[in-house]
Amino acid sequence: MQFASALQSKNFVVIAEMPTPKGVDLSGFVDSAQNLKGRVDAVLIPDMSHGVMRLSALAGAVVLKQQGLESIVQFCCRDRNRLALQGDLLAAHVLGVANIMASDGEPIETGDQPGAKAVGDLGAKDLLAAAMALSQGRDLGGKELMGRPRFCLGARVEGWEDAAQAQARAAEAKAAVDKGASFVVVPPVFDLAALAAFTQAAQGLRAPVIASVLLLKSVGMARYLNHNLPGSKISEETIQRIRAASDRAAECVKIAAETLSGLRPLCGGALLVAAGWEDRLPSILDAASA
Amino acid sequence: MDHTEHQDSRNSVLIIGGGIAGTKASFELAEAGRQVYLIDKAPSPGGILPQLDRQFPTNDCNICHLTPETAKGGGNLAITTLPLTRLSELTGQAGDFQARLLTSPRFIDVDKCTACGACLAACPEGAVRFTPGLDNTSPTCLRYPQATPQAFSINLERCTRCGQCLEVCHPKAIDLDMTPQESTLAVGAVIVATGAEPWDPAPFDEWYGYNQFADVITSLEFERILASNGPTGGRLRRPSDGRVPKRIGWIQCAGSRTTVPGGNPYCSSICCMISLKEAAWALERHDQGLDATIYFMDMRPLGRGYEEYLQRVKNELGVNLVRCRPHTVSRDAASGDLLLSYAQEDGSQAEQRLDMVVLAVGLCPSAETVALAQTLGIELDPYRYVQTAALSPVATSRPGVYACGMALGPADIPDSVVQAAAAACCASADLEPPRPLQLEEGLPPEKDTSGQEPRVGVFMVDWGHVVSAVVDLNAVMKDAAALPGVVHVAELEVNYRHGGLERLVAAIGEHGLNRVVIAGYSPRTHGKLFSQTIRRAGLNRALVEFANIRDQDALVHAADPQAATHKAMELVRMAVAGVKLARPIHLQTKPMRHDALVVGGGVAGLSAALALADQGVKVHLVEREKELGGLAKNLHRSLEGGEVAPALSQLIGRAKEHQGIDIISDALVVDHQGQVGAFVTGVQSGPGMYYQKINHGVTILATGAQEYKPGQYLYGRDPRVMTQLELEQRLAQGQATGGKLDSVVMIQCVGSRDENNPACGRICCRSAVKNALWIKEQRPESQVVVLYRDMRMPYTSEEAYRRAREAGVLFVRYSPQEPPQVEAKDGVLSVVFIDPVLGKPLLVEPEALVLSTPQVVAGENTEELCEIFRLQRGADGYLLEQHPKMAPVDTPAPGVFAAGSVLAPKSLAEARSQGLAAAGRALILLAQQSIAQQIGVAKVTPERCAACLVCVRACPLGVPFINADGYSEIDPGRCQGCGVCAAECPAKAIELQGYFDDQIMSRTDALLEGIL
Repeated sequence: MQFASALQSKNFVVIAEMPTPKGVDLSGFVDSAQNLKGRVDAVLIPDMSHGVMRLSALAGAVVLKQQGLESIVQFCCRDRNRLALQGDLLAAHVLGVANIMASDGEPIETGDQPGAKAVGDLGAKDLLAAAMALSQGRDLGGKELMGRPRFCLGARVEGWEDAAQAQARAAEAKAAVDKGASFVVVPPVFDLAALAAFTQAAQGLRAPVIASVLLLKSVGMARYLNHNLPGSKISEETIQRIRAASDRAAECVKIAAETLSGLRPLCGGALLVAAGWEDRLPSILDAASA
Repeated sequence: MDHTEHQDSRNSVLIIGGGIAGTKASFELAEAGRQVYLIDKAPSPGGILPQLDRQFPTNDCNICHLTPETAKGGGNLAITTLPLTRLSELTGQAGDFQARLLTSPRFIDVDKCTACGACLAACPEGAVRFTPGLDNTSPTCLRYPQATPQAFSINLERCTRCGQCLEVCHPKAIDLDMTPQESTLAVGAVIVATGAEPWDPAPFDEWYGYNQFADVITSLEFERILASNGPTGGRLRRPSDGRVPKRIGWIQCAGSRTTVPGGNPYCSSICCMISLKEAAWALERHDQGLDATIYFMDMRPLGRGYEEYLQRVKNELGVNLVRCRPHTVSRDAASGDLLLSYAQEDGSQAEQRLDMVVLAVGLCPSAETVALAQTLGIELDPYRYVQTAALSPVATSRPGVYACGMALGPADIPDSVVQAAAAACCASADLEPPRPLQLEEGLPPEKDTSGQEPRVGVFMVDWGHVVSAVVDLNAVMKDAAALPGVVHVAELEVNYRHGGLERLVAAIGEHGLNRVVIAGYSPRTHGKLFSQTIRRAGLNRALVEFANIRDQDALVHAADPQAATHKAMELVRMAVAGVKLARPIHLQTKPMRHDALVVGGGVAGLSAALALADQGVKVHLVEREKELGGLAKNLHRSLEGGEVAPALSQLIGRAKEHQGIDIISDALVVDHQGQVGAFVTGVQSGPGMYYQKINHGVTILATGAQEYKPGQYLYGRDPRVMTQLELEQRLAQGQATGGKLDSVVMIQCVGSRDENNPACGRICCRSAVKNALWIKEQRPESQVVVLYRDMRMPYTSEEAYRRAREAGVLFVRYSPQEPPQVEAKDGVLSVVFIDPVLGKPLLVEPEALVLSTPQVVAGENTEELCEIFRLQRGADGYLLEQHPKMAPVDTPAPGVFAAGSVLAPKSLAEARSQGLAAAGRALILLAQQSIAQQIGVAKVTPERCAACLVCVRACPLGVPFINADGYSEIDPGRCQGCGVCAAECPAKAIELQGYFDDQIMSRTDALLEGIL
């Protein structure tokens, strides 16, 4: 549980998001992970995010453990009922995967499995409660367990558009921590000042705030985010900077690295999200440490 | 000749007409492995194009584009050309037609004729029948020097049977007793490409005097005067007395846009550009105080970049443009001058003395098309061109029968080329899926020439005698023959089919050649053709070199023949020195991935996706918006007047239901790599930014344009000011009926033809007329004023323009120096404009002011698209096509095609044709089983590499990397052969194949021999 202790001991932890492959060819997944070994505190493995069927996150975590990397496994409540969720939490423990992030999951219709049905038995908050119950030796049905699993739990909050909304999000974060979350992840930050609204409201939170750093890929993506992602404020200056660059992808890596460096004094950690460009994660780390 | 027994109707297409459209359609199909029968009524196919000297806007010669095309037929493509042949009957249905053909006798055996010209010389009237009216017509006829088949023919009607030709013909090719031959073909589809005919000015002799005055000629005849292979050898001379004309006037709309019997009511669309080009070319080539003036009503340059061409011709070259109604040509008997009378815009009459008048004649439906329509049972439009619909622009009324080119109405070359590819694509859907094509199929094994002493053959190739007009070819050949290593020197006759290419193959065998030099052409246009030809002779493709004594010598040194001849010798010496050290480059192949990526789900993209998916291709369709449909979603009526929504929703519905189409909407392309046959493109979709990599073999870009939102004329500040699209929304709600649009002013060219956007919006004039008529239809008493600069109403839309005027729509021209003034004061909207007839300002207070705004380039998006796909944009910001005339939906990147308004503003019909055309182009690649990789890529010599990373940094495409063995490695599949790494490598560890250092040194030594 190095990650759990890093949360305690380090001022700033770095996590990288690494989706599992769609299929069973692990080469790219393992290669990307190898390039991150020793450079991040943990790897976050999403659980069929956006309803796209992939190799299960828990299996991915086990593969990375064999490679010597510690993972945080996302548990998406959309796809399993409370039996399966609790069973898999126990499975995670016995497989040596202790870091768990709960998520509600995006609408299943956005995914790639037409006709799929969402379960919706538990929500992310319920899952936190379930994990806490399990670690205290009982399941959600109140039945006693043989042996107690141990978890390091994380929670996610949504974005905010103004100070009032930031306040509400901070309250949600506090509730999650009260329920047992050891860290809280917030959505992508493009404007460091906008993060302050949240961190101020969340002062006194007994867990580190981990801000997401999303690697932009193009001008089109930046415009898209501003249009579609609530609270996303990518400045026109940044957009024109990408536009003027001779190598747009490289400029985007630089921008992500600058955000990463800028976050250090502001919060407890960063979650790097490359959304498909995982091969570029090391260059973000290089540029940020340069 | 009876093909019935040996052919497969499910893989064959009959193409009627061998002009540019028919020729292009033939190659589209044949290259995808189809059997093509190309019939033409003429002795040699070619249509109108070979009669044109130059083409706008590039001013290059057409023949250079056409001959490599027709020459491909000399390769292993299955194209059977049947000249002098007509269709007499078509029975059956799509997929299984029986076509009965009738071939007229040529009276000369094509297989024996060597095109020596002896019969022509022997015939008393002896001259090449090439341009009616300008040169003498002979009973024997070779249509043009580059004709295929390269054989003469005899017009028996004019033959006196004197027998002289029989005597002089050594191969005994002439047989005056030949009879017509009937044959039957089984084909799966038919393409009509019978073209159009130039208008005959005779009915207007009273006004233009075409048959009275020798110096009144048609635009096509003027092309012949300009042409170096024409009757005056390219010297500007007037027909009556051979004097050099000093004042030439072009009369636009000769026989077009008129209701006078004998003329055409429609606009022929291309004559404005033809006259601009002729005037420009005459000035450029012959400017000795030449006054070139075009007399016109509206200037209508309609293609991409044509408005800019107009401005260049007017402002930089000094072609005069006089806006008027030219009506009568007379002749001053005393001076011999022609007098052109015309009515000026203010109604006054004027007269101009001219040495020569060129009638910009329009086009008429060909008599052949009209007769053929009956044979085929297909419908014609009111002007007797083939009838089609906006969203099925190449389909005739009979399933399985398609049409392209000017059989559909007057069209520019790129339109014909696009329609040809679209028709080929549609025809292919009626056939069985093609048999996968193998590379190197039917070719002999490659000879091993390593270790052999170089035996070089030097071949002079001079189509159209452009080089020999300047350079003394015999002297160059003599010089070449004396060079060490050269064992054979010969001139290759102009034509491939019965001469050149076959003779080249034979000569390689006969003389045991293992190296070839081609003197006369650019490898850029002809490189592939000749490397393929020597491969057919068993030589490696890399063992040919070019001495470009045409572009780099004859064309640029025409004024100094002696020096040009000397330079030609030097160029040949260098090529010989280089080719002696050439080494074989072995073809590397990769399997072709049979998926297609289509970016953009508007009309063009949908059309391409459906055409491909219908023919069994797996399509990934990426759309930026949440919904498919693109700009057409905002349209209610097409320019032709049809309803858009039903046809569009049918396209969208079909795409959504199609098993073969995977739609990724709300999505962006974020990265792209690989090469034709094996592309990998990263697509990110939805708010969750789900990223997926798509593997595909071909790409079609159809990301469209956007509507211009004006900042001028109170737009956005006054609700009464709107764009044509916004007006259309209101008309769809019936607002004019409700009396809300009783007084409307439209202003044309808002946001186009100005400093910020020099391009013409192309379709805004037609949209304005469409909407003006719609207002009048809803409420005839509404007042509609259209303020315009030029009404650009091509082909049938001219009729709509006339109807609008008859319905009382007022059209008032404004000059860009004095644009209309718009004001809103005390709640009253007012428009003030100058009436050019009255010469004074007029005031209108309309209820609605409608701005005719163009589609403009989706700047940031197209820019990023080009970044990601490594493509270029034009000065207008739109994606640049490979060639504006001949390859309008290709990009310079192999396997990447483009369609629709990502290339320039497009109408619905054009977007649809382009989508189909791009799909047709893609199908050729998708028919291949494997793809040959770039010849001439960079190669690393590992022992010399110090892993210094210079190449890794220098490569613009990021190809080289340091491999596990510690030296630089270059993937031949990704290398584009630019040579940057080879130039930068300090250790000389990298060489570009085909450009080896010793070859370059050897060439330089050859050049400097005797000097240093």
